[in-house]
Amino acid sequence: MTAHSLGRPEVVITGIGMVTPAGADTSTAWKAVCAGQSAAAADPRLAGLGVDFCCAVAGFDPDLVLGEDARRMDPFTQFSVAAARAAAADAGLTEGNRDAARTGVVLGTAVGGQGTWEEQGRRLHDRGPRAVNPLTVPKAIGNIAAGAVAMDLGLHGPSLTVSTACAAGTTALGYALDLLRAGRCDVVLAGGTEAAVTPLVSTAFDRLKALSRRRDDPAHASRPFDRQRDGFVLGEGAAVLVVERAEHARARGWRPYARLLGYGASSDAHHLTAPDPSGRCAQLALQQALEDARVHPSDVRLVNAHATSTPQGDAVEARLIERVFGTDAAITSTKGVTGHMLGAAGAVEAALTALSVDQGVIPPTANFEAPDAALPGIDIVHGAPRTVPVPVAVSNSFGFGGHNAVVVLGSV
Amino acid sequence: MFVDYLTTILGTAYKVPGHIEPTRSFHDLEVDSLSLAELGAQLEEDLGVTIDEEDLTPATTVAELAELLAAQGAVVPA
Repeated sequence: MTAHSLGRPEVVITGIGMVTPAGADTSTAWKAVCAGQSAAAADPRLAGLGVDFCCAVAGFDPDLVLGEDARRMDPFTQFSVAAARAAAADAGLTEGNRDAARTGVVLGTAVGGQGTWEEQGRRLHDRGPRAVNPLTVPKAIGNIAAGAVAMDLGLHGPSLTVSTACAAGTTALGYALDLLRAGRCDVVLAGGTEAAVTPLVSTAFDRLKALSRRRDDPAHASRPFDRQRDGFVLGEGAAVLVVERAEHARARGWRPYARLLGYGASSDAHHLTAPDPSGRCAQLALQQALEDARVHPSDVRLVNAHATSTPQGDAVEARLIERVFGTDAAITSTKGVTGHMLGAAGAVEAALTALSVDQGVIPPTANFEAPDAALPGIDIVHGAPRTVPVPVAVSNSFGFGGHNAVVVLGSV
Repeated sequence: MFVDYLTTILGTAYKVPGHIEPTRSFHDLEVDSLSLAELGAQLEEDLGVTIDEEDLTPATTVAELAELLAAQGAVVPA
């Protein structure tokens, strides 16, 4: 079927920018993810806390990349502006080949400028009101990353932030797809950003018993689907994808990485933090995404799983994958390398999935050593990357609050 | 002595372009209210002074702010 016979515009991914624990640029991050080596390590920001390790962004100097502008940005904005600049450059977007008024920004974040709130809260407590930075609010509010990206690149289309916890990066791509299909934009910079490696956030997740406590061996702590998994490892970073109407990309002669075929979303309406053990509504989101993409489950060759390395979440997702795909699709969770980047996770994983579709390479699930006998047998790529054509792929994201979001990507 | 210190900060961190004449006000130099609030907080932090709101307004000149800092006994950081 052609795009025209579907009666809606085709949408493609033409640029990728990433700032991640696996590397502060796309090429470095992709190589590290394919090498399957975890980025988790002890972090001085968390010294002395119950969990003192995380997956920190590596090789990123905000002052070098952003100059004096960096001072006015919380790290969650720094990551997103750097990733957006890289994505725009990767897509060959210039002032000359895009209409600023028809170029939008949709970013996801779970917690926003948390480090700034915490630092200024400490200053207020320790030294009083005069010690509080007057820029605290514009640095820390959750929407500011999207605003800053629009400002930095001079974009005048709609810009907004979506907050669906750990599904936010995927939700952002879904809204970008809607904006493009509805004809409101020609191009959307869509993604997610998170800088929540702070003493309070790490401690709060630990108090919730969500984090791995493998303090003696952080490099093996994030182990999605593995029998010995004991919780997720907090990560940070951003990814921005340039998502564009295919006719717009064609008109400027740009070859896409992949097509963005479909999106599905649902709500568990079940529990504050735990997924519905039946996986019923996560499956609904997945099926909606496949229907929206007009593909059959048997077309799907790759699932980039949400799998965060928690005992319960990975189990629900493994059963869901087995129900929908059997053992036909290859499964990977790149969180073994990156840790869980919360609101950035879905965007980073969609970007990695686009690279899988483009290159026909599926990264391994780092630290997957032994299957969990309680889970159904699914085809988890591990040990080494797998080279295989990936005509259709799925990326899942699920968030606290029961937010489920799924995107479907296809080869060009 | 604070004039050089202030013009350096204004030219770098606050991106005021070109030569900065100390007799000009912050309004003339197009330093907006957000930047002015940030500058006041930065000077308090770096120099250990207290700058009242009425002493740092868009009408204040660079030279007047420099005098205020000197009058408070502040020392130019090394």
